[in-house]
Amino acid sequence: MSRPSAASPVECYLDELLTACAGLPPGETRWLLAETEAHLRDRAEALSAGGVPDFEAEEQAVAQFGPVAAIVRAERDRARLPLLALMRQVLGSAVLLGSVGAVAVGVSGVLAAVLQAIGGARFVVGDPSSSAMTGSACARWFQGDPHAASCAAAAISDWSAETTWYRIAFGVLGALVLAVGHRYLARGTGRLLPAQVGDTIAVTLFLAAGVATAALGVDAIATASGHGSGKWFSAAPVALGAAVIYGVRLSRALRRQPAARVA
Amino acid sequence: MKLDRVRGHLELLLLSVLSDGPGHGYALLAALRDRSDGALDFTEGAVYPALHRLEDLALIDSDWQQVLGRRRRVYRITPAGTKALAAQRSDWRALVDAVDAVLRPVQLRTAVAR
Repeated sequence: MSRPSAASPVECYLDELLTACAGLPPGETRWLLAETEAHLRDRAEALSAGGVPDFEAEEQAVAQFGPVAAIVRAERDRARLPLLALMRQVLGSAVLLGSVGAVAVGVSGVLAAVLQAIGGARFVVGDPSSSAMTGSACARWFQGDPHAASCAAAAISDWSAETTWYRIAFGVLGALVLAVGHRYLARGTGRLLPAQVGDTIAVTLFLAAGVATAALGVDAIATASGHGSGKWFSAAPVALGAAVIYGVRLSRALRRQPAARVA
Repeated sequence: MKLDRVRGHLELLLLSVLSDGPGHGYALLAALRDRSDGALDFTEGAVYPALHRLEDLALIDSDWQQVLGRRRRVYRITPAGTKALAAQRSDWRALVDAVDAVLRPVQLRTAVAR
């Protein structure tokens, strides 16, 4: 096989195309080069058969094929995710992660009920401030618990129910959205962000929520004799647990990747 | 013909040509040119990214073959491609009819309505 002439317009074009393809997957580059070469040679041969001198035939074939930059840009654009599809993935992942978050809130509600049973309602909801205990507010709280010994006790009773049952109700809603959403989103491909991206976001958010709620619980111990710390301590382990689950899944996925080459 | 108006429909045109039978890029381009009596004369290199996009969408598939002494990628339409072509043809005809109705001179439109 003879070495190709460097001055050949077709060879120069193929060299330029090869250089411009940097960053494209090797298989796609080989594919594009092979198709382009076959096309350019066909066109040049057809022009030569029509009486055009060989060199000019190659020049015309290259000119008709179009600029390298435009072809490589079109190939790169092909591999790029359209903005609408990306937004759909972000929305799908947000719905799924949001519903998992709601389920976590529901679990924290169950934990709050347990802590309330162990440490009392004051441990979970804290003491109402004196400024909050207005006449109308007290009347409302007494409606919920007519046998309460004081306005503060009625407030604690009202808030403890909110802390547990509102959270549990939110969790049930989250579970319903998760069941429906997962069924729809898992059915097709491309409806969610790549799993590793979603898991990274989930780990970050749950870890931040876990650390923040644990810190608030510790703060309540330091500044309010522990009153109200149960509200935070019921949330922290659930958030941290979710962060660990997502973290393990992410770690497994990352470790399945081929090892990076060390230079 | 203003080719920038047609470029957006290159994939539809390629599907249509491929519905007549498999072909490699150069042959498909020649078929496009012949079927349009030379009116559609694309920048030839644009055909390949369009073919690759159609393959990404599983509307066509391809394999390497030795044709006339050269190794070429030969493309063929898939059942999904045939279905997509039928839908796109119908959309295109509806669009052409609608644009045509608007562009038609008013007197002619009235006469047609009668």
